[in-house]
Amino acid sequence: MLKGYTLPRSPLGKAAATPAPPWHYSSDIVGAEYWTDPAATAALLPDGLSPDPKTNGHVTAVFLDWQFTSQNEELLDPARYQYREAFVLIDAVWRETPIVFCPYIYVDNDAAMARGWTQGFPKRLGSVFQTRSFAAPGLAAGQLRPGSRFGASLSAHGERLMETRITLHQAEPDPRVIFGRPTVNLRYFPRLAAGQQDRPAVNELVLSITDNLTIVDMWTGEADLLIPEIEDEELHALSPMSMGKGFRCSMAYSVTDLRTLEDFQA
Amino acid sequence: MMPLVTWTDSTEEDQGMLKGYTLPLSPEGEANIVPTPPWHYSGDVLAIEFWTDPQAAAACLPPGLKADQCADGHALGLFVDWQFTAQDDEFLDPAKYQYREFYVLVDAVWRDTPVAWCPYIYVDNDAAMGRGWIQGYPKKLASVFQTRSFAAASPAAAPIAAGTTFAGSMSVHGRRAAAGRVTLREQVPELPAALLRPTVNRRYFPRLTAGQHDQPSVNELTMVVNDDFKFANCWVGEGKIALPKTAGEELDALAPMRVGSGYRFSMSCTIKDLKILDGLGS
Repeated sequence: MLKGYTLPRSPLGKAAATPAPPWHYSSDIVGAEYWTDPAATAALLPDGLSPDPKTNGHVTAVFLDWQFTSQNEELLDPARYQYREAFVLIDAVWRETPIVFCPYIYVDNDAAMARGWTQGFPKRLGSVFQTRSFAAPGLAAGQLRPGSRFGASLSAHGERLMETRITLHQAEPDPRVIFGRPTVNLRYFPRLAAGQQDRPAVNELVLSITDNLTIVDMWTGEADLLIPEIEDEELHALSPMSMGKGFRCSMAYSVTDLRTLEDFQA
Repeated sequence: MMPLVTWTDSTEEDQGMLKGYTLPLSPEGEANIVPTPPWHYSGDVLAIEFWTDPQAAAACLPPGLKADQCADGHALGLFVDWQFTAQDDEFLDPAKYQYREFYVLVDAVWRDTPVAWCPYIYVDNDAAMGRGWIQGYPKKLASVFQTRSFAAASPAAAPIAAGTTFAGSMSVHGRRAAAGRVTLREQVPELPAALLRPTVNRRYFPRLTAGQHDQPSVNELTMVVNDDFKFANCWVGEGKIALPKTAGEELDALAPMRVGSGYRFSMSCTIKDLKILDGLGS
């Protein structure tokens, strides 16, 4: 009689790390696109994906301030359902389709981590922050206008892993300039049984499905991005060789599903 | 063998080698907990007005302030999402200079002036706590959160629109000490005077010297001086607030007997001064 969409399952089903879908998300985004060593991005691709010869080495680094709700007014419990996230997306190809793959992602909330693992986002814990935009004008407001600057940072275990600063130049009416490709993840859950630890219980290439995707107030400009070399981390391998656009926007979508591209267990 | 502690005479040359507005002073002046004013603030605010036991409100007033006989225990509970900057692009270091705050203001009177007195305030950032102490805000650390409004429409966006509910919460050491909700009804051109009384604080810094623990080094009644006070997107609606009994806190003594309106607005201001009202003596 235990209930719940995820562990821990419980008599009332309230203890689960995340409530069941549909999951509704709203966010503010600060990010930068850039080019890294194509060998570094190629080295991160799972079976089923191959480098995109047209955009080899292209990376999008994204910092998000999230607010989440499911069906029970979770957005009114900001301590539990607001969170911050940072990740990188690398260009790749699935069959003939240009996609992005998410090799690394960090979040500061356990419910978001549980949803991420369920979706195939390889989430770890990190401390993530970004400059916000406030409505009342002032030097601290971070206004959306030409010349405004935003900073964002990711740290894990007390070490800075990635930081960016962007300067807005102009509003960008077409968000596909930055977010033009579907996201592919690897759902992966290992076995612990001796002798089977290299044979995961779940190993699926999946396509993220975002319902009602809405991106507004996109601005683009210039960006700097730094990925320091940290012991026991591999994010540094994706350090920029040249920078593209910096961007800032707001985004919303809902998740109720995904599409399995390849089931490596089948 | 080297002595464990060496003493050198202070000289003119020593003084001024360390820099900084507050402790810790340091060779480059970058280590201090708070940079030098002016301090610029932007924030989103949930404000809930309520009436507490007038005796409880009077009991938290310092010398120099009197209970406002007209107020009948009127008070405000405020949740604020803050972004800060001084002169060196501090707002581009959001990890250090964004923070969240909850505080209570109770109506009082200084001489013949209606004022708001801040008996309790909680914040999640050390730089904000340092600035608060310097201003006389009695800040302690806590976890503070509030529902935000995002631009892209979704069930999670909390649009600034009639019917939207915003919530705030404050916990001290893992125990919930305040929770509030504001359900927006209508936009208003400006905030009511009840929210805009000048704020009075008590700058207070004790001595540690034996026999002088009750003779503080600093003990002043002060009035906050806000420059460039700006408000935007002011909405009024239904307010709710609870101040549960929490170990080690006395906030619950101000628990609401009845609750009035709730407000949600954005504000900005600059702090570079204050007004000393009374030296309260040591």
